[in-house]
Amino acid sequence: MVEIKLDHIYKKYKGNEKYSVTDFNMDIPDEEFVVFVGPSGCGKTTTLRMVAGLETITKGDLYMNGQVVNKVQPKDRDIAMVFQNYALYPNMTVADNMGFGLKIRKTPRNEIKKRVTDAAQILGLSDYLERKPGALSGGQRQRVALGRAIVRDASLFLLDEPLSNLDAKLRVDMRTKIAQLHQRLQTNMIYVTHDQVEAMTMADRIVIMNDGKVQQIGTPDDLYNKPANQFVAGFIGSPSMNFFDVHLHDNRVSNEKGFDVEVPEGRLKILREQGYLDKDVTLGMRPEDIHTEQVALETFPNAVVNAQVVVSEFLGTDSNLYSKTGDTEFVAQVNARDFHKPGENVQMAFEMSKAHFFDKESGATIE
Amino acid sequence: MEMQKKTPKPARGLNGEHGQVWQAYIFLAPAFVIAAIFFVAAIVFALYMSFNHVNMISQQFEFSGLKNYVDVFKDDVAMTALKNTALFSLIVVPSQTIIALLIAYALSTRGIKGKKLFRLVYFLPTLTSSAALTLIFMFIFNITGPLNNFLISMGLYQHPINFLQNPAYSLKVIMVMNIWSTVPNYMTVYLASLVDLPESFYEAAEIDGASAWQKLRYITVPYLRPITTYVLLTGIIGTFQMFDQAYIFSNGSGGPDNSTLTIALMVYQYAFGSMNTMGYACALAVVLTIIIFVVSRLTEKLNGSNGLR
Repeated sequence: MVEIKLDHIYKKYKGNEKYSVTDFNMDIPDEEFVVFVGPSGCGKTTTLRMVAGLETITKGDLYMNGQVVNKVQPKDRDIAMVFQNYALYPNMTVADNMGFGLKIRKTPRNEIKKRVTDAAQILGLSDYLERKPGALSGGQRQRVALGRAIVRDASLFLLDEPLSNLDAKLRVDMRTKIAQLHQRLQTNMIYVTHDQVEAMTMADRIVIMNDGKVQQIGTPDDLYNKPANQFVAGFIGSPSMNFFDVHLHDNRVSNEKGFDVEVPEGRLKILREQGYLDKDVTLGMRPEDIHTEQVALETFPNAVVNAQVVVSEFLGTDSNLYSKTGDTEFVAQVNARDFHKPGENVQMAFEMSKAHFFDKESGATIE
Repeated sequence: MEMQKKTPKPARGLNGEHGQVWQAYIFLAPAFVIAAIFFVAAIVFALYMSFNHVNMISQQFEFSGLKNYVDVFKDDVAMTALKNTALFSLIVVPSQTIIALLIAYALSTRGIKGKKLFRLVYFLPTLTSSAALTLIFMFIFNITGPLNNFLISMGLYQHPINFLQNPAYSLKVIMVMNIWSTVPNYMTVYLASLVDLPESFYEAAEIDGASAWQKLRYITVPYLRPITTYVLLTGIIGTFQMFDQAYIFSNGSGGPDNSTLTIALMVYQYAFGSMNTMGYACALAVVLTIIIFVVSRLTEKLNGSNGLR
């Protein structure tokens, strides 16, 4: 069990002018499942590797249980790590791979065997213990990598994009397995991914990063409903949030491409107080907050646009309607019952009470 | 007017279904023909000569059955040469393999500075010709050479050691020389393979708590096993066939007191010397081939890899 504090951590690689990680600041209490998420090259893996001790920290301090561990060797940090490519030792059997860390730490042989057997049972690997990694499928290798971490009984689990090499179905299965594992082990986990669905479904808290900087730290609900800025709003959610460059005037937002809707009084008040009246802002609408049902058209009569469906995707329970009003393009996620074919003209209601507004220059949420 | 489309015809010849296979055979053929003529035919002819008493001057072949082979095992000089060669191989092969592996491992360590310089320096001996190298070593190990001067100046002993003429030392000098000249090549082979070893293996082992020695033992050495098989096999073949260094060192005699006589050198002496005993030399060469084959297979088995597949 360990409490971790990343205190204004920076990382700059030799030869680079720019910092790869800038001012990473976070407290991770015991037993928390934290997910670092962001696009490729945003610094999430670098941060994880600094926590592991595989990268040096350029500036700032990393604390574990109140002790600065910047110079502590990875083996002395009581951590277990799952690598993106699994890093299974090819010459060793599954059992030897899983028990290697314990063998190095001179754990008695019968204890190693017991722990490996237990972990194999949890992960459904009991029949594969004598196989070499080369004879396993991707999913099985991934489970061996997890097993190697489990048997160590470490205080902190670090998982670096562990599911990115698996197919979609297996990824969903393993996601559940890892979540169950966290509940069972009751230990800290830091999980790195570029997949926002993994982040949203598994995390207690998400750290969303871009360009080496932390954009927001919060629960999945926070990030989804109260994004700190346009980047977070656009990164979290699938399909992504729609953004409209609009001008706020009177009680409406509009652009020159045929988009024009009314802003409800509550939201308008905030915008007015913040001095955005008669200024350009960015309007953000989640696809599921754009409706085609009759009841919605009647409920939000002042935010209805005449749109034409360009591409439609039927997803079973929902349909994604890639549409445009005038020259403004957006996507609406509607009930599958309201499926519309490409080319159809459809009235769509924007649920403006759920709209997000962002500063056009800085991208910060206006609240 | 409507254009009539041509019905596609199946490709034939080199563009056909088995075209790539035929292309491969065409590329392989010239080398195979040359090998068949100059190597296979030569081997068959040598095998034939080994069962004959051969007079190269009169070009007479007299069938002698297994006599040449029996003579090999009765010949004390041949046994001395065999012993020298086996000892040479026994010391040189493991030494060159271990040293090359350790240097390659050290040079592949993350964060080490001046890697290119080290590689260049370590690779330089490979560029030196065998003859020049032998002469340099003979100069270094000479009774009045720098090594003796150095050891005496250090007070390790009073009188210089005659490394080159003392049978107790002469083969060992050639061993050192051979190790020194072959390590860079094998080091390069190991380094090339280590480039492909994913860094995450070492990182995983570091997190598992492995020391540098344990990483070498449990990660690097097993990973390099197929390469080690290659190094061992070529090393065994090279040492059992060692000729040039012993020839230059002893001026072709295998001396002093047959201490540097190797089988390859003996084959040369009997085949092209004044004794006119080509049949016996061929029998020796065949015995050497069998020994190399057996030792190589044993080593491959002992190394536990799947060979060079």
